[in-house]
Amino acid sequence: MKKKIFYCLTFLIVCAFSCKKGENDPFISLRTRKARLSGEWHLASGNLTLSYKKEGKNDYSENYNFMENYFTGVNSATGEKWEGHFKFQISFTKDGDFSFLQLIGSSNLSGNGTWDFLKGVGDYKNKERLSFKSAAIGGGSFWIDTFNKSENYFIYNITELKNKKLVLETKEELMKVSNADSVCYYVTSKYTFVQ
Amino acid sequence: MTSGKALYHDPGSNVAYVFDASSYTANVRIGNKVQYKKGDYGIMLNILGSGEFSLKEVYGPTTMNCSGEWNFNNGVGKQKQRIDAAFSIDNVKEGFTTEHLFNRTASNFIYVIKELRNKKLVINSLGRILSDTKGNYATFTTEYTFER
Repeated sequence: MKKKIFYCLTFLIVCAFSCKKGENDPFISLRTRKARLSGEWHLASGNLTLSYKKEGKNDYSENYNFMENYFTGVNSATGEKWEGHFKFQISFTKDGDFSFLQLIGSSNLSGNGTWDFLKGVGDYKNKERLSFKSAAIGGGSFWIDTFNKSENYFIYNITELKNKKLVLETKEELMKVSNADSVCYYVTSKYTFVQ
Repeated sequence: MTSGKALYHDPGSNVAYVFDASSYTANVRIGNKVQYKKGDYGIMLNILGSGEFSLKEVYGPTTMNCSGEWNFNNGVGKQKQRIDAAFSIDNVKEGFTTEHLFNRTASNFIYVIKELRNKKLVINSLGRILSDTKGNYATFTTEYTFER
């Protein structure tokens, strides 16, 4: 009996350390991270801040809030506001393919390619981050390529991965330092998806 | 970096680069016109086991000096593990990310590891770097050889 309890406890401890990668991941899950990620996801809510900094100081920012079918945005410097229809869905296959479709206002953006987890290096745990290598992205204009951060290769931190819920985050990530105006562009975003 | 090559292509032009340890030559074709260019070129790449990297790239009159984080891929589906090295620049001390080649004009970029020995590293990258609303896009292919 004592042996059974010992084995059960050992199993639970191993599971706890191997399953929980993101800060809000379930304590224990019997499905692998790949199995939990695979499938079609719809955006339930999200937010995005694009910050523009010159010589280390905040110049201005654009702040967007996304709901299931609607978005709002505001420019912190001018007060200019935007709003309109919004829809975002993304699917992952176990073979490592992804595709997404984003409708924002009257524009749409779609993309596909391969996804992968990143290994644990430095402060990052194994499979804590998700990378997207696009084969094709099209339809959008530069400034509203929000999910792909206007790049063909992009990375997100997985802060929560449950069977029916996925949260992807980016915190103050450098997008580019532009030679056109010497401005540093940063992105902070959080996307909550449900199945 | 001891040698390398790169090819930029968009619907109206293409540029074929050849690199040695300290310079580049480039054949630039815009429409039917072909130009030959050359200049300084060099890369110092320092990859640490702690997950950090630093990069200094000299390209003609411009220099980019930056640092950030790197990581291997995990290998999902058809992809082998540790065949890709993903780089994320998080600090630029000098220059601009938008006008340099090794980083594919971006702050996040990925290279396929073609050869990795104790004293030699060969990596390459390919894929789109720009696209517009009309479906036009530019592709950029690079290959670099580094030695210790």
